[in-house]
Amino acid sequence: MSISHTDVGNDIRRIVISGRLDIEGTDSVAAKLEALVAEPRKGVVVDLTMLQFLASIGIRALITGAKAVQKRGGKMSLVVSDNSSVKMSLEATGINDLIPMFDNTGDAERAVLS
Amino acid sequence: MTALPDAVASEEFSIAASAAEVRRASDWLESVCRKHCVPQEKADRLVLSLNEVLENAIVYGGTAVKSSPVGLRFEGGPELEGGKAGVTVSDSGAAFNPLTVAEKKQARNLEEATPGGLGLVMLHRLSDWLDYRHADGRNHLSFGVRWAEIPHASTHFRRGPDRRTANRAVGQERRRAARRDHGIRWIALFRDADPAELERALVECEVLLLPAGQALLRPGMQNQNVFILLSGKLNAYIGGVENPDAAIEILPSECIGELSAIDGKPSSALVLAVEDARVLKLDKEVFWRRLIKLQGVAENLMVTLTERMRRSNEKAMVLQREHLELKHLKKELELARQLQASMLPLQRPLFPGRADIEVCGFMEPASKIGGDLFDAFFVDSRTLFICIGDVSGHGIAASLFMVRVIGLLRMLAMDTMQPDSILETLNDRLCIGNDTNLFVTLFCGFLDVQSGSLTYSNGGHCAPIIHKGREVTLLPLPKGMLVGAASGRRYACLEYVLQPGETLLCYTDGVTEAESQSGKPFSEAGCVDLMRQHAARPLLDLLDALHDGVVSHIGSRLLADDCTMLAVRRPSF
Repeated sequence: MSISHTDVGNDIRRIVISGRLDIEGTDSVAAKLEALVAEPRKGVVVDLTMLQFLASIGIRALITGAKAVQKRGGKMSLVVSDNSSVKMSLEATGINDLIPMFDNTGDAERAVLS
Repeated sequence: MTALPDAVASEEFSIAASAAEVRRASDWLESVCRKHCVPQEKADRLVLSLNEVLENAIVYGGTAVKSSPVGLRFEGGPELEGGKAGVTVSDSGAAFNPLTVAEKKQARNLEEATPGGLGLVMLHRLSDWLDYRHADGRNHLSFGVRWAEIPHASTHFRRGPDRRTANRAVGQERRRAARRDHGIRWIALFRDADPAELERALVECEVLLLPAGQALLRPGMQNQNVFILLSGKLNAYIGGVENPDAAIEILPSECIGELSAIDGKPSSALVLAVEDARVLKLDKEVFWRRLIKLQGVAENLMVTLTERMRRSNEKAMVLQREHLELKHLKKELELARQLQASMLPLQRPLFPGRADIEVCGFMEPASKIGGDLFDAFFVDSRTLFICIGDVSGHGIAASLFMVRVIGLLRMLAMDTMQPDSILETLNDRLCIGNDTNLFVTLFCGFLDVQSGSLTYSNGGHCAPIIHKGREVTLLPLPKGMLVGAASGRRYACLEYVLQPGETLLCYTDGVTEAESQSGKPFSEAGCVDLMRQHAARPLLDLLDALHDGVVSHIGSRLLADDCTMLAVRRPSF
């Protein structure tokens, strides 16, 4: 389980989460994720292509994050691999309608800047 | 899980009711899904559902849930109704049926969205069926998935000994499922193909049931088909023989036979069902004319082939390395054999320049390197040292021990002409550091070739034969234990005068104990007969005749034991 970030200019923060966002995994990264999205950047791109597993508790953390970004006037988007179980989780919960989801970083970054 | 019949593959597991245990439960379910060939996408659904059910139970189960382990049960596989698998989670938490909770309304935007209740949404969306009951003070929540194992309802099974009943009443169900779940798109090859086109292409294809042990392809077989493993386990054997070291495992959804179907050459490998297997048979024409043209199939085939090639290369590398090691070892062994042979006086006859004595040896080891030894050399102008021995055991250890014996004997024989003291010293020397517990039977002596006087000692070796004219006797032996077994032994010596014309034949028990097919030993009598017949001939011919006699007695060129002889004859005047 790991979470890391890089800042692209002053506008975008890229956050990469890998491993499993199940109960245990989410517990270990939730606070870090909350702190990372709290800093004022225009857009936050959460890259989930390295993530193997996403349970509802992980989705809750993502929603909480997206709401925090939106509250300070920013946007959040997700990068998700096609045909992955992570994509299946997001689609099953309909979260892809609330947080825009892309299969590549470029589109995800353009979406948060628009 | 009332929906599932009894005779279905099932697995059980339990965890403590704690968040820290959920990962273990996921790992378990992932591995049983692999074991029972649940397609990956369906397995993902089951694992996600399990996570939600466990989280629910642990978070809302109160303290009661902690009072006993959470039980997990998996049932199903490809054989069940053409593809069905379910999981039942039972816990001792407060009675609660999550299925009666109204499904959360889908939020229209992020402001509206609340983080709670998502688990139940996932459970409803990811499972094809859900069931709850409360019994024996426990909650039993079941969820499951279905998939279509069989590409089309017109698919027919070849009748075989392992025919299952699963395909009887479920045709309609399967057809429905096939439409819903995109047929066999869990097979990597067809992942990206259009379901409708795929179904049309697969209409005529057959599913074979291979009971464990049955071959799908044999080397040299003409093959017109590409096969895809649906479930079970196949092994492909490089080189075409069932050698476990050369086996390449074929996993469900992988292709078999594509190479021979590509180049039209006969199959090169043996492909065997290691477990009962179900195999989709695709006619070569269907494969190349229709399937390969579907979206992604060609690309996926390349990926599969590359992966197989990589696995096969790794296997071949290991075999190659082992083969080289063996080759190297054989070379070493051959060198050892040559080295050992070069230590013995194998030139025949020995001392051809001497008119006062005729000496000849013979040796044929049973394996590449043996433990027999003999030696003959002059310690002064008229004194010949002779010896013959047999090291216990065979192989490299015996031959190394034999080399030690020969070396020590040569040294000792140059020191003293007392055969008993030679054996005593040799025995004590061999006993030092003899961790291998090898020993040697040994006969040795000094022959004055002018007088014919032979002073000899014996350490557990068989008695030499003396032959002159019609008379044949065994040389009387002094007492003496075999050499190298226990230190501090005493040996005695005796004297015999070898008359002109008399032949002394020393041998190892590989000669006299060589058994015929019926178990009869060649025996001293066999030697004596031949010695009588060939008395007038040179020793070289006599020993060859004896060897031939042994070979024809056992009826094979393959000796069970080393065959070694040393003969000495005083010429008649």
